[in-house]
Amino acid sequence: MPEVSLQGLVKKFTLGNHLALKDVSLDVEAGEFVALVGPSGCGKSTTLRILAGLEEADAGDIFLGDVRVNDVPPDQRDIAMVFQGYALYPTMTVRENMSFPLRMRKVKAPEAEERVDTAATLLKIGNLLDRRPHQLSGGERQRVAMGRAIVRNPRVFLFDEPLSNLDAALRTELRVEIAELVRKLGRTALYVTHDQAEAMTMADRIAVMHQGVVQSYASPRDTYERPATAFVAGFLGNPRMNLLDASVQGRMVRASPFAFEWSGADTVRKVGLRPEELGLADRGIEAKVIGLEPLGAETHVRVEANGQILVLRVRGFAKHRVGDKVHLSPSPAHFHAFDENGDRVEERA
Amino acid sequence: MMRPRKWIDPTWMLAPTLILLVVFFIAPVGIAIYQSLFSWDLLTPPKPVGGANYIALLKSGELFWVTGRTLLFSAMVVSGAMSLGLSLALLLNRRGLWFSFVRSAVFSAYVVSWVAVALLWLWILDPDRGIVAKALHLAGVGSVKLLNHPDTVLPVLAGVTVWKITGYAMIMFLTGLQAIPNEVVEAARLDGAGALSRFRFIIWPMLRPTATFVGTTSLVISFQAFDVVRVMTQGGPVRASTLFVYAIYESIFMNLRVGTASALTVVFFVVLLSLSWLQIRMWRQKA
Repeated sequence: MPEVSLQGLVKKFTLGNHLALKDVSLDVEAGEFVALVGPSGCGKSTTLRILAGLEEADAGDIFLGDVRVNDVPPDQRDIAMVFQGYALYPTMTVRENMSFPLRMRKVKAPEAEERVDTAATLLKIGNLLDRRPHQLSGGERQRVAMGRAIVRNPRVFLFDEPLSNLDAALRTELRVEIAELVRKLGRTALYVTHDQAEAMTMADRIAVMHQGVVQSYASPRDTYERPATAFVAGFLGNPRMNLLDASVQGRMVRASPFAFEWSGADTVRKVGLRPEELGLADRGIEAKVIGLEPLGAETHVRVEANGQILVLRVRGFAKHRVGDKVHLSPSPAHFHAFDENGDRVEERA
Repeated sequence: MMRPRKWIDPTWMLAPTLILLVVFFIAPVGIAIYQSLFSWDLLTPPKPVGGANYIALLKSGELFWVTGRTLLFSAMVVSGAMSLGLSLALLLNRRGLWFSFVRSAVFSAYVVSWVAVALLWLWILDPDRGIVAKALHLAGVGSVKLLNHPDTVLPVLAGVTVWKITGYAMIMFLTGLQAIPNEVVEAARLDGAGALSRFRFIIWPMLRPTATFVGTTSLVISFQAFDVVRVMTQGGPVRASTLFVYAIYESIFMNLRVGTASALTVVFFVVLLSLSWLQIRMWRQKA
């Protein structure tokens, strides 16, 4: 039985009768770390807030274990949430912040103190316990917010873009820590982010959402290597996958500037190719370099071939210059094919 | 630092404010202090009496009673306006046309002039034709002259003042409430805090600076109450509603005792000055 099960969630927003969630279903196994990713407004935060009980779904069911919790108030759902803005209580010290959920649950003071100390040690914030939130840095505040969630020892952790207010270096450092911590505690976690690197590195499974619908729900590797829809294909990966309009003629798929043999259905309307799979070669389709983005470890090369602009990735610094002629020869095995609805089309074996 | 080419240039620019300040503030205070040292009835030439006016005020107990009465009045106004303003702010801190209409309605009383408010309540409380009298009559209670009884007159005046300034308190508290991030309140909900605990442990501590500000400003407003007294009770019955500013007015325009009035004014000035100092200090702490 899944630890968390969302079934057919629908959420209307009164403003403009806009559907925030169209039909969201998601099962999360016990101890699993699931990332919800997608562009702003895709419904990922709304999904999390409905699960927390901070908002009500207009239709659909929410299960924690085998209990339907639609009508259970948020504080009785055994769920802790870490917010984007940390949501610390500014008038309380760190210790008071962390012990607040225990105090509200009438946990005895000595036990509460012990649990706060344990969590503080785990998060390396033992020296901050007597400070107030405004005296802490962003990273420290986020640790305190984590601590406040941990002391409750909840069944499920929810994270709503917890790192998006921090600088890049700290984000990378903390995302490792959070993932390790949650695994160490053996708890189930749902993690909302718009940062694909966080989703890829932290999660056991990634749910990609778009316009109130879960577009794909799979392991990071599957999501990346075999994207379920053209949207997912374009959303994950940096630089983005090259997506080209395509048509099928007999046994050939034509997606200018490419054409390759195809043994699958003739419903292919889009073809995608990841920048790293678009290798440079001595022979093949001729292209002109129109832009270079050297990043050190790799360079993103923008080329134009037959009026089509493509991005490809090469290791280190490229030896090419803008205006150079190059050749492209991608392997047909690397092409991703999608039909007119954007759904993945597989080649027949 | 840049120096003006001619000393007269900055003086010109400062002049409008400076003139207003001197004519309407500094000079009157100076004159009041000066006049408080004389005995003068506006008809015969003033006689210098030194500190006699102050001593007389202290000896007669006038100063004690007026100050005490005003403080009692202020206590009622401040506590009333703050608790009512906070309750309304908590109730009306919601989206929607209806709530914004009610908010505007409550605030509108604050915009109306003091005299109009006083007249309005004079009619409402009229012992013969007022709504309150009618309601009491229907309820079987005989005619109650709220404004004519020394025990009820001060609470009634305080009530009218509260009615007028509650809108101000409400708007201030609403601003304070809206400055509290939604996330913080939601976190408290998830942490298991019910509505009362959320107010007690989260919202109220965060509203405290606002409350301090509302408290000090309404204290100053209530200390300056005059129009309500002048229009509704003229200080009566038996001086039970003679508040500080009205006492000053009475002694100069009714009793023609300019010296006594000036002495009262000076004391009042000192009291208000300390209240304002308190206010500014708390404001700084808030910032």
